[in-house]
Amino acid sequence: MIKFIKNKLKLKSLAHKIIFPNLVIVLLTSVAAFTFAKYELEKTVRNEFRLKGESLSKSLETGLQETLLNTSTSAVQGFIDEYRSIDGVSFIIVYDENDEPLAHTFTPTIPEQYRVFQGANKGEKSYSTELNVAEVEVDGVDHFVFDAPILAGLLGRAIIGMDVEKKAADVVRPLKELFAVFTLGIFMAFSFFGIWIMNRILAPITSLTKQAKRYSLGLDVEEVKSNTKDEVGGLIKAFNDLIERNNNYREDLEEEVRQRSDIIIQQKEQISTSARLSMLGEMSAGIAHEINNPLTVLSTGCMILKKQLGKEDINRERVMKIVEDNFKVIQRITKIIAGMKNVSRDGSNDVFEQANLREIFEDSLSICSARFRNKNVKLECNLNDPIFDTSFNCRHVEVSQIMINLLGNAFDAVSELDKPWVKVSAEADEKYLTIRISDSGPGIPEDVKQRIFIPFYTTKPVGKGTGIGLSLCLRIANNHGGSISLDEASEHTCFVIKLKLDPAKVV
Amino acid sequence: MKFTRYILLLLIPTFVFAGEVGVSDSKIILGQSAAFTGASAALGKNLWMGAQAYFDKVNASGGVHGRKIEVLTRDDGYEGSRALVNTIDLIKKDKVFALFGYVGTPTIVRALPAIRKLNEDEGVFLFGNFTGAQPQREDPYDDYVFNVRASYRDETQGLVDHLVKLGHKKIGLFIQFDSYGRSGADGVRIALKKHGLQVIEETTYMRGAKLSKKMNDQVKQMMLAGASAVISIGSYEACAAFIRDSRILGSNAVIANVSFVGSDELLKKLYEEEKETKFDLTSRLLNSQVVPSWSNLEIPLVKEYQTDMQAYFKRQKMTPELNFISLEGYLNAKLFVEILKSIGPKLTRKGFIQRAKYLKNIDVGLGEPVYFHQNGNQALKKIHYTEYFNGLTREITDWNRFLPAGQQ
Repeated sequence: MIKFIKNKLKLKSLAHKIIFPNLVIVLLTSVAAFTFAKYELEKTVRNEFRLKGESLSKSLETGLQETLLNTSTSAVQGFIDEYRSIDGVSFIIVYDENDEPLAHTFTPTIPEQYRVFQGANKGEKSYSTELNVAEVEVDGVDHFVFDAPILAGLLGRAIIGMDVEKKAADVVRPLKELFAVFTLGIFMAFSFFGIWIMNRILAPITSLTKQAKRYSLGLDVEEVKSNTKDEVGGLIKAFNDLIERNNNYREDLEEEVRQRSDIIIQQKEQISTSARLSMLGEMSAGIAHEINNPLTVLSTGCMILKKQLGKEDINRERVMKIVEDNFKVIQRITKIIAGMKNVSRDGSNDVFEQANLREIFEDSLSICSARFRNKNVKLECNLNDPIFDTSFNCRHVEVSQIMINLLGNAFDAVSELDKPWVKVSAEADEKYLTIRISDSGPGIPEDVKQRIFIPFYTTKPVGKGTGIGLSLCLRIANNHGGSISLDEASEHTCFVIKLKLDPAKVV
Repeated sequence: MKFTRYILLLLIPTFVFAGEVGVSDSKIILGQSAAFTGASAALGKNLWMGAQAYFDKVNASGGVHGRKIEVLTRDDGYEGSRALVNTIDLIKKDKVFALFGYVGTPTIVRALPAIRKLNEDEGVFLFGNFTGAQPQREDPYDDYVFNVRASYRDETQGLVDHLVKLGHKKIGLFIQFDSYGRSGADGVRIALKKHGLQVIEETTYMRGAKLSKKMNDQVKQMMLAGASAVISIGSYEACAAFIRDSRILGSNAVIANVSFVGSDELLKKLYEEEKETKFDLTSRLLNSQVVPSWSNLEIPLVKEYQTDMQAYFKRQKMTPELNFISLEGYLNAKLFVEILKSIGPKLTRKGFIQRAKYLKNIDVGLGEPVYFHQNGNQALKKIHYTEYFNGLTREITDWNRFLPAGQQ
């Protein structure tokens, strides 16, 4: 029932709290009032009924007296039949002075249970005008039974039975109906009026809630309309003021965020640049080695050439040999510089082009292989492996930067260890090119593992690392439809670089 | 049916004469239901006392045919239902020979149907009752109720005739609100109608009203109507209250009471109130009586009454107190005994009834023979009128004292 009302009338919880207790009170009050009224009415009816019975008995007695004295006993039947038809009278028995039934209103005869009134006056007769009234249950129905002596009993007695319950029920029935209608009316009026009132109060609260919810979700908020000046009106006004103030505040905040964002973007660019520069710095040692040796060769060659040119007999063969060697060295230096140029610039705006994995690694190794040699770190990278013939669409410079970074990290991790090594391997399937760079290091501690890709996180001493390298590499890999991860299964530190063979489809 | 019963009743004395109920060789028992308590107690007591004074004398001289007369009393307090039950009990339980000396109209009216039934079954009759109402003077009750005294109709007729003759045209009624009051009121109306007049105003009071009850409303009503005379059909306490309040409120109307009021009792109450109020409450009061004045020693019955009453009071060691009521009781007893005497030793109810109706010349000492007239089965007709004078009740000598106010 309550659920029904709840569903049908869409009662809000506040309505429940207010309307239902009140309805219950109304109902209880009605029931209590009805019970009390019924009790009082029944009492009054009983009394009235008793009085009616008494006066009926008296008039019956007077009439019977006249009838018995003036006419024959046969007239008695006709006389009591008239009384039988009076509302409430259920039976009449007239006994003569010897307590024998003279007339009665039963067919075919007086039922046995009614004969209890017979013979009540046997034995020593006592004469009295007093009307005896008894409340007797006859056939399970409450009866007033009036025992009226006719002429003080000299002519007999008249017994009138009156059905109290029927009479009481007759009187109470309209009361019941009245109360049912009344209670229903109050119930309905209260329900509808209550719901109307509640809705009047709840409607603005509901729209207030809706707007507050929108606000909490960050959606646009409309001004809640209210035309009342009561508590709800006050609440709505306060809400509207709050929203307006917050909106102003948010606008200010957004402006500030925009300004800050601009600064952050600038700073990011600066950091990116400085990261590249730091990478260059890190590379510079290797580069110096790379170039130093050829320069020594060049310098030695030039000194031999000077000596040869100072001699008379110039060993032409030797000179030619030295010039050719020098030319080769110069070519090598040019190549180093070209590689350096290739990896040090910002390649993020380059177009995707077909590139050969070997070329990428040659560029990368040209910059860092000297470092490995100097520190006796064994670099296992077989560029003759056919896998390095793989060509794929990429930004050549960026992919090289990933490799330089990871090789640099591996070098830093193992350069101080015994028998250090760094191993590069590659494989490819239909979609991805997978490059593994592992080193002889013991692996990365668990707590560090989780943070290595976070920008500016670094384990290196201040001034040595920026903490931006790995995050930069991850971003580049992502841009190429790939990823960088740690191979958990590996005994040593092993970075796995996955690159999509056809990243254009991704980007 | 009735005829059959009549024949049966005739046969009973012939075949089953083994003695009548309430009659033995030495005794005749009579039953009296009357007011011995309540507002009208003086009526019952005096009526009984008057009869007892006479029966005592008869019994002392050997009774009637060797049978002494005994009266069993039951008190009905002037209440109809009690009178009814008393009547049945007197016959069924006390087994009295006859009912005797009832007091009051509401009481006798209730008892009449029972008397009728008891008469049909056992031949019961009632002799001498202190009421002048009509029912017991009419069919069927006049067969077995012997009314000694004159009726209220006789009394009211006499009062109205006198008042009208004196010039009273505006006659009001002050009545007890019951069958007694109504009975008297009817008499007044019938009498006035004969003169082409109507009751100018009728006021009532509830039966049982005491002297202390204020009757101002009734008096004002009567004064408003401009009644020059008021006929009062009530009992002594209420009537005394009405007279007192009439005089206090300035009414000088003639106030006439009927015999039932008990004029001596009324006078007693008025004296009490005169002392209290200092008003003259006993002037212009008229009373109709059904027996001659108890002080008129010229009448043999009164002389005999006074002698026997003095003897009775002496025996009872009581202060002698004579009045109209005990005189009536005395008269009833004497008349009853006279009839008994004439019947002879074989006494039956039926026989008594027959004899009482048959006798035409019974001398009770009223100066003229008395008998039960066929009309109303009533013995006395003459009405006597009394007034109060110097603290005594006397027969009226100068009617001019009762002229309408302003014509005296």
